[in-house]
Amino acid sequence: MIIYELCVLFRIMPKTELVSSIKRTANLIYSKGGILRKLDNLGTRNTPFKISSHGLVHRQASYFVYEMNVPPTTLADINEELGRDVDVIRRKIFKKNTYNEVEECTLHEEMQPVPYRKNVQELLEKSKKLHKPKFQYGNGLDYYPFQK
Amino acid sequence: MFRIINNLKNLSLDISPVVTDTFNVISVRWRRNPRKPIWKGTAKSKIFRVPPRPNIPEEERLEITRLYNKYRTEVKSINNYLTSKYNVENQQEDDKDLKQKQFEADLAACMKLNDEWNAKQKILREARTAAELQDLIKLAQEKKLITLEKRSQRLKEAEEIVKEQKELSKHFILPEMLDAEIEKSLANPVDHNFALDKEGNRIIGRETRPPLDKKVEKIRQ
Repeated sequence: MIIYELCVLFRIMPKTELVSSIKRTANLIYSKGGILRKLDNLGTRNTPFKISSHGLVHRQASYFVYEMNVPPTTLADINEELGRDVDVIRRKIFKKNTYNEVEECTLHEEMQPVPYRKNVQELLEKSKKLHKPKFQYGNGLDYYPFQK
Repeated sequence: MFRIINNLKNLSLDISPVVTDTFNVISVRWRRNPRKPIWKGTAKSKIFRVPPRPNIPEEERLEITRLYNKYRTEVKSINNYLTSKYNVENQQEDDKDLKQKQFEADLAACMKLNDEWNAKQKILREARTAAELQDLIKLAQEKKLITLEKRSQRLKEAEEIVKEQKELSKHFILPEMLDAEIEKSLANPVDHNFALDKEGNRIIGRETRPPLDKKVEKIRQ
């Protein structure tokens, strides 16, 4: 079960309209057989740049994050339907990182020169196994017996 | 060259007339001096030239065939005659019984030796296959144990995930509680931003000032 994060920027509107827009988006997720895990409000703030959508220019937006489980096949549908919603300025679906995927590390480890880092050392160790035995001089043959 | 052969011809004519034939059997390496060497191949302009078919009259052809057939038959008969006359095997009288006996004795000796070898090999082979079988059984048992271990481990992991998700599912937003959740989220905007100061303190919030805010979390050193 993959967890997705749907980030939506709603246009600035009165509270009742905003609630109905949020509900519409949530119902869209339900209608696609999805589960809504969490709904985060990141607040209303200035957009980093002016955004034109559906014939209007926006400089402010309400930021919302839906955490959800949906079948991966419906992602395109959800994206497309949200694209037709006039209240939605921008939307993007991300795959959520599970915490197991992030390994703990310290700054000291990260600041080391590349060959001294632990993961690089592991890679070097791995690549050593791939090396073929090399011809050594001084085994009674004073010339290289293979084609150079 | 021509001169030498002519001289030879002249010389030999005196001795025997048979040698005159050698004049017709010269090998031609160079036709004329500025001819290109034989290994240069066909000239580009001559590649598609079709040489005319040799036009041999019917009578002539028949005569050539007849002569060649006659020649071949004669050579073959001479060859056969000489073979039968001088062949070593044909010189000896064949003692069939003795040959048969020798062959049978040889065969018997060979068979005996072969049977001995086979018996020896059989003992070695059986010992080896038994050992190999034991090794294989041991290997299979080890593999089976590893597989079972892995399977149980995977099941355990899966069950853990299911348990975790079940625990989390209590907080999922169901359609009937959507209104309340929307109200709650609108009332409580969250802020995931944070900054780090020199001591490694995590200062949570987008616009929080370090000394004023109490939301300072000591990060693990």
